[in-house]
Amino acid sequence: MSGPTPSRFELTIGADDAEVRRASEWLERIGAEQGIPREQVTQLHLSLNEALANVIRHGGPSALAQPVGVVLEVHRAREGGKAAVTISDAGIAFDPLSVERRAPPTSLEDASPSGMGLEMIRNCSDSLFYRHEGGRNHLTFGTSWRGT
Amino acid sequence: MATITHEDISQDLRRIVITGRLDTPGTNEIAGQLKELAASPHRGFIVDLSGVEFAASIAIGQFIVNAREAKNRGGHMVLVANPHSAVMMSLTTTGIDRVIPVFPNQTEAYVGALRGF
Repeated sequence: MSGPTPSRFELTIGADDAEVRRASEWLERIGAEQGIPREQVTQLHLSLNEALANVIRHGGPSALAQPVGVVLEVHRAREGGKAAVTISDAGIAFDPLSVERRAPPTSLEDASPSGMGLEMIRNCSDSLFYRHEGGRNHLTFGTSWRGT
Repeated sequence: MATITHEDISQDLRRIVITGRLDTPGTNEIAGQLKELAASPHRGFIVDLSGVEFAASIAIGQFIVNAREAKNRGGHMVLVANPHSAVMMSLTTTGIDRVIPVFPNQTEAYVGALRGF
């Protein structure tokens, strides 16, 4: 999708649950201001929550000790738009794309009550990228939509 | 902030109503009470999520645990969620709507919960 320079918004938060809620509110507010459709805001919101929860739970002491960066980029064009969120953290290097996808549960007994966050991110994202650079994890998840 | 209340519709059927944001803090607020409410001798449990704005995977995990425990006691748990809500997106993206019945309204949930006996 071609178009003008994307709008870019940045937030820095601490790695704790209260800050995750602040980031959620920030995303919802900017999403509405930028005219991102409700469904796509929800997709980004779910992924944001799960990605930040993973940083807090599994990133280790370095993740908790340093700020977490959140960047939202919004591209809008006549035919639609796309939006992507990048989360950067100083935690243990972890490429979520290296994790094998798991099949949806077929029974209640088969369903695992944990480890669903990554599948939520994958299923809510049209694009998903990871890189480890400058001692930080950078996870980008995006979504797109047609005409608004 | 999340809240949880309940009403006993009959000896066999209990409705549990959850509202608010079920992110990590919200889920932690209601998890203990949900477990207690779903551990009663009732055979059917309707967990009404119509008033839930958001459900993270940690909340979905709680629904799995409690639905499984109800089933192990010979019971049955169903959920109520708006088909176009963020909660429904959480249920579908985790595949949990395939293993815990989800109904769009109370009336259908009552029938579903009773059918599960």
